[in-house]
Amino acid sequence: MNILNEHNNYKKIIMKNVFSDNLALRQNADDLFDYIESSPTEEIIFDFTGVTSISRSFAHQYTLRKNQCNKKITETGESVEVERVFEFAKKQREKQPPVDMADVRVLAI
Amino acid sequence: MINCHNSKYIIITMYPELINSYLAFCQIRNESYRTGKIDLSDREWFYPTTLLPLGDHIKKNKQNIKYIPPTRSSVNNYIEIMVDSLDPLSYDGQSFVPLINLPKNDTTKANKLLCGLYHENEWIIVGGKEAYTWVINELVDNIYQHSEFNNAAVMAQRYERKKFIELCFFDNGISIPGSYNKHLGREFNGIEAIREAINGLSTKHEKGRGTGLADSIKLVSRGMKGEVMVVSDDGIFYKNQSDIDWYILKDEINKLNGTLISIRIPFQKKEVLWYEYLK
Repeated sequence: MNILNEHNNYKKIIMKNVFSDNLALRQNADDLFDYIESSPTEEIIFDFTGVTSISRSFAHQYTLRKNQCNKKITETGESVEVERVFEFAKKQREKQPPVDMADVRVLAI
Repeated sequence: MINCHNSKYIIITMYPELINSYLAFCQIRNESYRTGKIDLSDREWFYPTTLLPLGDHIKKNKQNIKYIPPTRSSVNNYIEIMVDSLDPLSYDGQSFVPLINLPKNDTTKANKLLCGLYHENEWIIVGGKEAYTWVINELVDNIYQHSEFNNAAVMAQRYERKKFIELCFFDNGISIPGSYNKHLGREFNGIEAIREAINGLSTKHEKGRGTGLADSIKLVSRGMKGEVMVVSDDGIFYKNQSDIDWYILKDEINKLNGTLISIRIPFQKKEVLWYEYLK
């Protein structure tokens, strides 16, 4: 991974440089945490500066892995848009089907 | 349980255009099996819904089926990108190519390639960047999480005169019913499996999984006033603002080995705020 700032006591990971200004895939969050968990550094700063969009899947996986991780993890530089998706991903939502399945019409082709 | 007995079928001949576009692919594929060739020389254009599964079909069969490419270079370019697994950026230099092959084992590269679809020219006319990227990110993530594909692609094509963008997501993986069968040991036909996926049945065990497809459908149909079609194995789900239809592909030759999701979003001026529709 492309880590730009590495200090004796902490690592700062610039998310835009590692991925792009869009954080799309759940697997990317897994790869990120696999990497930091294999690192001896105990304090990690994730810098979201320049990230303009993030998927709910990425944010959800990031949150799951962060909660399981024993290192000290902080975030910086999140935009309002990114923060909003993180807040949404943390919510326990009731699943609400977007379609009413009670009256299903099946057509044949 | 969706009743699929023959007596319950309603046979119709008028389909939404997204479904016709999928059936256009089936027709070309069936003709290629019958004649041993695919002649696209006089084809002027395809919708992405036809093009992506067709590119996969040509790629899989180019050794044993005679393929005559379209003479129109722009159409041929798209098919070449799929068939030869080209990187659109290196293929076409500076210009915008709205078709991306998803790399099978490199999700970091996939993440970077997706940015190629996020041009302001596109998202600004269909409700804004947040809603547009939401849908693309979630549906591409589903491909990586569930499909086990060998070949997958995503395309976003803008139709200026018709005033819509068509998004298409294709993978030739194990299909939605195949995934449930493999990971949960449950047997569903195509429409049952699509229904379960929309209702949030996940093959993963963590809390908070199984919302990507339902959220995307909701956001497109309610927020962006668009239409969505999901094809997987022998099932089709179709939804626009007012109607929902389920189709069962009775004829083996019309089934899809994999999953295809097609979306049409009309041009609109107002920003669509995803958080007003997903609660």
